[in-house]
Amino acid sequence: MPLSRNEAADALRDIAQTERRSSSAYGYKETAPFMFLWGAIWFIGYSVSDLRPEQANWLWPVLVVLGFVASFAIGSRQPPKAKGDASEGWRHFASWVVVALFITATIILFQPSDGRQVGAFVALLIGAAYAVVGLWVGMRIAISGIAIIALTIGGFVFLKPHFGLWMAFVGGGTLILTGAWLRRV
Amino acid sequence: MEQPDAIIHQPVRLKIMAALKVLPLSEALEFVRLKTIVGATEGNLGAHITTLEQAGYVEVEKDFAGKKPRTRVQLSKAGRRAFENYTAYLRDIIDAAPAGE
Repeated sequence: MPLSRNEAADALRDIAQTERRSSSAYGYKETAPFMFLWGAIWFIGYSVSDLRPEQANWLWPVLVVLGFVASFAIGSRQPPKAKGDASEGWRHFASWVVVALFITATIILFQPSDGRQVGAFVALLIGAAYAVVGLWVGMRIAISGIAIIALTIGGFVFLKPHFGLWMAFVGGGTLILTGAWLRRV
Repeated sequence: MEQPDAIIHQPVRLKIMAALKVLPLSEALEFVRLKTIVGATEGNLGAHITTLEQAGYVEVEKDFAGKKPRTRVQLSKAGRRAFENYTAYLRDIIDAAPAGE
């Protein structure tokens, strides 16, 4: 028996809902390795910034470059969403390069005197980026971004002497835990 | 298409096909993830996957991830085509019939 208009509409609604769920689950699986990677980078970078601040100036650029190279390697191993759409990985990579350039330019422009301000600013911006990306990819990433923003502000205001260690354990930890959360569906 | 594709038309199988359709072409979905996305029990999902596999709409691959057995399901070319035909059939019904019918 042919379907009625309402039955067809219900079926299309079910399809759209399942596609959204599946897309989010796939996005989570693909995002998890990046969370582990950058969580580890934050942990190392912020720990050294707190314990050996004189090493931070050379260490952070090295960590960021290593992070970008590793991210590119991870991204290039993931299949493109559509046949022949190899540009998607590049566009993701380029988006984060734009964020990194914006952070660098802002620091040059405003020349903050306190390393903690720089650390907090970078974390806030990354948190905001995750929150925005999460609105499109899936709420777990958005929640992670909002948590990073809240924890960064909290640490900056209440834990000034050990802000770096706070960011290493709580900021880096949030990214790593988010990675573990994204792998669970 | 006068009649809906009976294989895809069943609600759980329709969800399985929709979940697999959004993946990149060469990607497969693990059974446990598919179970969560579709919201079916293990036995129910297994039975419907077998039906889809027998129709040639999905391909099932069983292997080991470390020491744990893993089942992965992927949409076949025939399955992708059948699903596209099915959704086109649904849209045709909506476009043809006046609202409220």
